[in-house]
Amino acid sequence: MTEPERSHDQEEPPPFGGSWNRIYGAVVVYTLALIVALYWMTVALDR
Amino acid sequence: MRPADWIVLILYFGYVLWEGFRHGRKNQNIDDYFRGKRSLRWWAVGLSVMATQASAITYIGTTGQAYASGMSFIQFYLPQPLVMVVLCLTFVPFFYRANVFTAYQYLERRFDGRTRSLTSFLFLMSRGLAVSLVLYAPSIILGVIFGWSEVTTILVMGVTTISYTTAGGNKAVIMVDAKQMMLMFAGIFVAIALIMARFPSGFSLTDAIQLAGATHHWNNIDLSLNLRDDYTLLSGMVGGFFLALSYFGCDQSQVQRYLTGKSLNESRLSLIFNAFLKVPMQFLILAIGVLIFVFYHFEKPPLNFDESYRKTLVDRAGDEYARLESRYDEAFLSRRDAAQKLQQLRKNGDARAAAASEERYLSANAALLNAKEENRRLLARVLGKEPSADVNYIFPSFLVHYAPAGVLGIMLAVIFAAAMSTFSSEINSLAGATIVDFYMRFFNAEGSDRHYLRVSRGVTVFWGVFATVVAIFAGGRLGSLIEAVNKVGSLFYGPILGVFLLAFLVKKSNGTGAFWGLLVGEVAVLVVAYYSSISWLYYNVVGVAVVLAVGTLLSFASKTPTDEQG
Repeated sequence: MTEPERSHDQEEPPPFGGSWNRIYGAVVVYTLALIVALYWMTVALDR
Repeated sequence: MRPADWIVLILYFGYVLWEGFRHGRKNQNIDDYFRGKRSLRWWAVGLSVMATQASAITYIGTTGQAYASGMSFIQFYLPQPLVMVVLCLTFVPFFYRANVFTAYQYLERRFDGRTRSLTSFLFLMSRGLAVSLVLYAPSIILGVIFGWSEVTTILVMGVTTISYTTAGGNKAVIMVDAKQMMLMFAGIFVAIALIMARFPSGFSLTDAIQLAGATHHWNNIDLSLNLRDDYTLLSGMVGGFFLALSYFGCDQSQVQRYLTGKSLNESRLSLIFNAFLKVPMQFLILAIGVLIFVFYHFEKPPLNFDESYRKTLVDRAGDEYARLESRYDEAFLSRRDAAQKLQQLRKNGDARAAAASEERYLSANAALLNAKEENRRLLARVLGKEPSADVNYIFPSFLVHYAPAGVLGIMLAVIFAAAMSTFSSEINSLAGATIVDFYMRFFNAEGSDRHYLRVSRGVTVFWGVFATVVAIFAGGRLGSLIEAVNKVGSLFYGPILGVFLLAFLVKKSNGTGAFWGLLVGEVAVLVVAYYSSISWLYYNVVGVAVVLAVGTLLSFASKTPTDEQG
């Protein structure tokens, strides 16, 4: 039922973006951009 | 239903069964059956994660909710990209390296066996109760469309899904989920195109956006700090964050998806894929509801989207209902004219006249809503109880009346796909937790691969049949369906998440603290749910906080720290 651990995976970089931290940063920035865009939409379209 | 719709549906069900059985032939042990031999690519896992979360309830309940009250439900999804990052940093590597089948298996290594058993039991309770709703929701649609009994619909979906899930295991579930999710994406755009094609000549998408803005339907963000409000940025980013973290990190129906990744990187990528796609997808689904709201300014919406309620009122409150319907018709015409006038003035650039016209439009809209409210009160009086939420019937009712031949079949296939992808993942994970966390520990620890595979298939059938039977007998008065599912989940998610956070964050925590912390946390959530009026989204925060506080205190008091092993 068990297999050897695959600890080498931790060090593997993602296939794009250079590093995982950079991808996580992009997700955080993306989330903030979504909130700002939706807030802008709320204000702009609330007539 | 026309022949083209039937052909689409038959093709859909045939393909799903073929795809599911195709992947079932290679299962030889429970590693194949529950983890797909850890061989799946990120895109398939990612689509399966999305498909599992997006049930038919998402398409029916969410669109209805947006029709009635606008886009504010989007705030509930906003923390999900951040949750994916937290999962990639913590839960996913912990589970992946621990080489577990279930999330709760990890807790035995970290704490003790009873904490694992209790957490897994709470999962079985919460998911086992909620899974039946996944089948019940689309059965409403065929009830509206064909006048078929809900039982027939539930049985058709239940038996098909149980068949391919039982035969093919998790790999079949994921590969079918991936195809179903692609269909669901396509369905969103088909629905939007269909609504826009039905707008009156000369009425553009910009006009529709402006009109819905007048009734605050585009209010995506609410900055209120009131803890009793369900959908605010605060409740979304705090309560929604903990709910999503618990759902994706501790609910086996999701964990069992990303444990099948070919590598840790593939599992992480599947979640990052979700981080970028989930909110836009949900935005578009909600927008469908808002656009239907606009569409019904020019075509009269039924006073009761649920046809059976209309018949009840005609039979049991004939004259009174006829007067109400007549008033409703007048209110509709008045609102339609006001909306047309308003758009015309806006197009002409006459701001002053448009402002006055907007007042008239809002007043006409309020009159229409008053008639709807009066209808609800009349219905409650006639039935002797509160009627079920009308919002759940809006999207299916629209499709029945306005989708052309073939498109109705596609949209029905989308709704079936949404329901079946969630149902398959859930019964597969319920079986996984039952077998790995209970059967293999307490009933038969020395079985052969063949034996475990056979029992796993039997338990999958058991959970499938259980959920189908509960859906048949327990569906009903649950308000907005999407809320109902999340409310049930929120009674359990917080404490379960609390135990995992205790394991990850408090190094000196031990089994005594985890077990009693979990019990006290669960009681605290139930007490808060019963006695307080705070939004259900905060139940998760309460559960996490109590488990972390009590678990930490008891761990230090009992002074038998368990070493980190994850």
